[in-house]
Amino acid sequence: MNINKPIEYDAGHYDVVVVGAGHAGCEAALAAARLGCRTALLTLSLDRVAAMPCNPSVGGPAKGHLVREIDALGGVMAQVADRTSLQARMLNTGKGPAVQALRVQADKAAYSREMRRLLFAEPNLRLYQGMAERVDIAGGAVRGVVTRTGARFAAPNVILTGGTYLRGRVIVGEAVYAGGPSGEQTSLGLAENLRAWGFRLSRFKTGTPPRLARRSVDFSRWIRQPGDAERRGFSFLPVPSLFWGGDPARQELCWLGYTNERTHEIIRANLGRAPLYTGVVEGIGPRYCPSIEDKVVRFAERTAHQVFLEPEGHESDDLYAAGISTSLPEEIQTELVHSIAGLERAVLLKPGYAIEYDYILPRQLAPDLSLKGCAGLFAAGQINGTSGYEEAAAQGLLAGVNAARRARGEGPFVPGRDEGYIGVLADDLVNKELLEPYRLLTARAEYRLLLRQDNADARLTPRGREIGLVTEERWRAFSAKMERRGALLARWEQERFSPKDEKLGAVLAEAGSALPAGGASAAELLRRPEITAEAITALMPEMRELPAEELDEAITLVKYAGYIGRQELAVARMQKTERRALPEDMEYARISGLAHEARQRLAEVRPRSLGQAARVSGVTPADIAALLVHLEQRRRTASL
Amino acid sequence: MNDEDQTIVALATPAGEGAIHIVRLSGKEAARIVAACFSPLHPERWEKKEGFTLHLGMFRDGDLEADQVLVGKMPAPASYTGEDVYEINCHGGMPVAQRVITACRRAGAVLAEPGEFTLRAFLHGKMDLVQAEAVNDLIRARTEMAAGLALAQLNGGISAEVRETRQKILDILAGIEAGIDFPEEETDPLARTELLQRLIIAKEHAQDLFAGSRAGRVIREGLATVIAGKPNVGKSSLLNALLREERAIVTDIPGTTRDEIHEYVVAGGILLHLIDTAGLRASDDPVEKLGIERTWKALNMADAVLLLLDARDARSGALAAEERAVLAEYAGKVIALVNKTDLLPPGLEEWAVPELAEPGVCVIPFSVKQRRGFEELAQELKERVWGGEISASGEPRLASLRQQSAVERTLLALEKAEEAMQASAPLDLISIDIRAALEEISQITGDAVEDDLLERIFTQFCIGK
Repeated sequence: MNINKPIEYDAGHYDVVVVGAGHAGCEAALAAARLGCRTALLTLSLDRVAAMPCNPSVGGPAKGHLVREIDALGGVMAQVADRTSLQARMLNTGKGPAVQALRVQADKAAYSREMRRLLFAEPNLRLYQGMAERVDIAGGAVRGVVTRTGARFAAPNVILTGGTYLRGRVIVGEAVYAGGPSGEQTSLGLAENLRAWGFRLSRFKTGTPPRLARRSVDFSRWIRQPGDAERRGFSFLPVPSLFWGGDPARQELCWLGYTNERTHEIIRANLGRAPLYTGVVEGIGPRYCPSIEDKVVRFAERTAHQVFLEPEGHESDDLYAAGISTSLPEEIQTELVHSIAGLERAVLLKPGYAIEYDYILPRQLAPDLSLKGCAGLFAAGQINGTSGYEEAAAQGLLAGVNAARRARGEGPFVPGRDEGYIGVLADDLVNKELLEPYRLLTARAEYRLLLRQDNADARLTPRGREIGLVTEERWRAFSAKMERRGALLARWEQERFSPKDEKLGAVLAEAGSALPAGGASAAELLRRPEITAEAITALMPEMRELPAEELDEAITLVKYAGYIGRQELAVARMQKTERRALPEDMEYARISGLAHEARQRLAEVRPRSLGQAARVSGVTPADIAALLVHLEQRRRTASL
Repeated sequence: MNDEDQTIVALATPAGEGAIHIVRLSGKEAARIVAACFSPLHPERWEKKEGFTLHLGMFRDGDLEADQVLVGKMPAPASYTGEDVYEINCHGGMPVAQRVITACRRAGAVLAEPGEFTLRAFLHGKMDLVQAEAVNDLIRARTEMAAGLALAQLNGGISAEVRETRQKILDILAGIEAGIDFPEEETDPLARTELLQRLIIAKEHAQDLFAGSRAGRVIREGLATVIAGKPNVGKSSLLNALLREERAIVTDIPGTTRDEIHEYVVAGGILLHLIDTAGLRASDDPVEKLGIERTWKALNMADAVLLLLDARDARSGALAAEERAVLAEYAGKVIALVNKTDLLPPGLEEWAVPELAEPGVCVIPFSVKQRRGFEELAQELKERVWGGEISASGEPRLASLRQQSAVERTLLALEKAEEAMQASAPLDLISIDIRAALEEISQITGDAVEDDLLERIFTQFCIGK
């Protein structure tokens, strides 16, 4: 914080000001600017935008889905990840159409550079390096942001994307100091300022593993983890990698190895110096991302834990050691790394650390990611208690779009839980009680089968088009794809095969499938479990002309139509309660029949619909009945 | 609360003993549901549009006759809830009322939430604003009472079994979800064969629970006990003697259109639902043939069969073909009462007819007239009910219809999951039914699904790349 108060000056008037240029801030700023808003983006360091302070990868289950959705809506994460891809792998290929997900290992420096290129190229976007110190609020609405050096950026819409930078506290063994991730500075003033305005903040913790020098590793002891043999990417419009172009054979490798009993002994012997166990760490960390000391203590029976070595960049010597996140003292980190086969001589370039930070309790957010009680103020990303680049980027896009829509006098864009993981994410944040940093999981999506990565475009590109972020080129490509899909599905329903058809007989015999006595349509055949893509292309060879993903998607639609129909029915039921709007001015404290807990929660969340009210943690069916009675009372009183 | 488009059904009178029980059905589909289950005695009267009329007829659950009932027809909007309402008056006690509710559910109705009829009445303008608060209080009180009751009804043993079954389902789902959301972790994702095995075990648990809820039915609805035998062997005398003996008649419904007589009596602490049937014999009389056919049907449905034999026939080995058929076919549930031992030649009264015994058939020398054998019969029934032959446990089990239907749906979902598993469906599809099963069974325990699932994933599997 400042010792002296600087003299403020007018740094310009904007439609939207974004604070922070991480994954949330970059998407937010680009979306707002591309929607025609005069936008300013403030960041601690213009040289480190869209940094990846943790793992060097983008995607995975639910997260990869989210990246495709960001792409479908007109965000940039998919393109930047594809362009800076070192390796791409489709995960969960054997587990079904809903949960297949792409993960891309990205070159961190290139990722940041590419994002910076996009930011600099944006005509409506002004970039500025400086630390936001406070938000200006008057009359229940935001007025702008003032920096540590006195620059006043006036705007009726401000998006806070402070990441883990608010009152950051870095912990490595006994060493504890104020700081941001990756040796960056931390922001002290903004958190205090938000508290002073009456917002409620709490504290979370996260951690990261040590980075090792690539040339100090003996890879002969490690198992190769190559990328997929096919070209894969997130973006609907293909973006070749800077590093391997369109040739998957040129992808980089990751490596798999294991800790051992010796490693675990070192950890156990030094738990007395582990901040997690000595009480130094106070924030709550994520269960899905435990430190190696936590894993060794909680799963004492295990004699080995996986370690993945992932390149942080094409030219960089850094290797990210996934699986051994730790905040043990540096000398112990060195010892435990050296105990691992192939890492005996490994050099620690950057020791692991734990970081605690302030986050905004997200139930203060409305579903459009604006903060309730302060018109025009939005928050997105890790500042809302989430974790992960993808979760941050998705929120950034949502907040950017909504700030721009507000600037243009349009209503908020709130995707539903049935429309995308982006809807699940926002809805969970607003309604659920956060007990740890929030990570998206496919298990959180009740309509998982409808939210596939293969239909992210079908679900959201039309929405992106309405919003105004989908380019003409993309819209044409998308429309053509949808036409092909429609034609394919129609053809499968119509085209019938006679039982006398020799080719049919051969294909069915090959697949171990019975010959249909009265013949069958292609769709009917596809509904048989044993009829796969290979069988149908053998029967209809011209199908091979189609992109593999399009064919697979169409097959999914036909094959699992029963399950898909069930989920669509559930969605229709849900939507009915979503349409029952709850007025803004509900006085929950005075509604009779509500339980005490429900009153508090509902007053805090202020749900927009009866359906949303039912999802608020702590609200029971009896409370929903009380709301129904109240709504009816209001209706009748109003009509008196 | 249920969706307002759904048609709700519930008992409108207090549960428990009572001569008349009223089942109330309300909603858009009420007319269709009643039409599917109810055969009015006077269809022409029934078809008339006018409301607020009572109609006698037969209520059916599929092919099964639930009971003769009186149906009150109260069309929208003048009914209690403002929707189409049907009130089904059952005179057969709780068992019949529950069968009627089940029939409505199978035809598309859903169980009403506590206070839901009143809520609908209010929402449809059937009550004034002053009453709104009372509506709220009522709903809250009923919800809380229902929750309290649900827990109270789950006594230790059954509660542990429900929880164990739920835990098994939770573990399976956690295994699948951990493998899906953390594909590269050391989660030892369940192999499909192991998954299938575990699924089958969970399903069997759910089946036991469901069977247990049938045992609970025995406790609640009485042991369906058919008195069979050839004409004049003493069936009616036995019935009357049992009734006199115990004087604990729950209700009685003399059959009007049937040849069966239903009575309820407590013997040896067990509620018997006695069904006296038409005498078994070869007959050409069409009316009698119909009655005998019903007897065979009743035998099929029975929990226990009291087959009355004439001691003189048994002694001489001159059993009728029908009697032998009953002994052979229902061996497991037959108790042969060798009646009229008083008419045997002097000195043979103690004769114990061992040569009659088919495997599994219990034989009791009996004399209605001399009141001989009643104690042995009560003892035998008691042993069968408590001893595990009819019910695995003597305790009242899943008590409420709500719990039973939740277990039933859990079981159905698990069966679907197993079927999908067998058909090599991908895991993300199978998980849909397993999750549905978990949600259904969690309705009994009242536990949150998502929080528990995540907790289970993180405690069971070492996650964190």
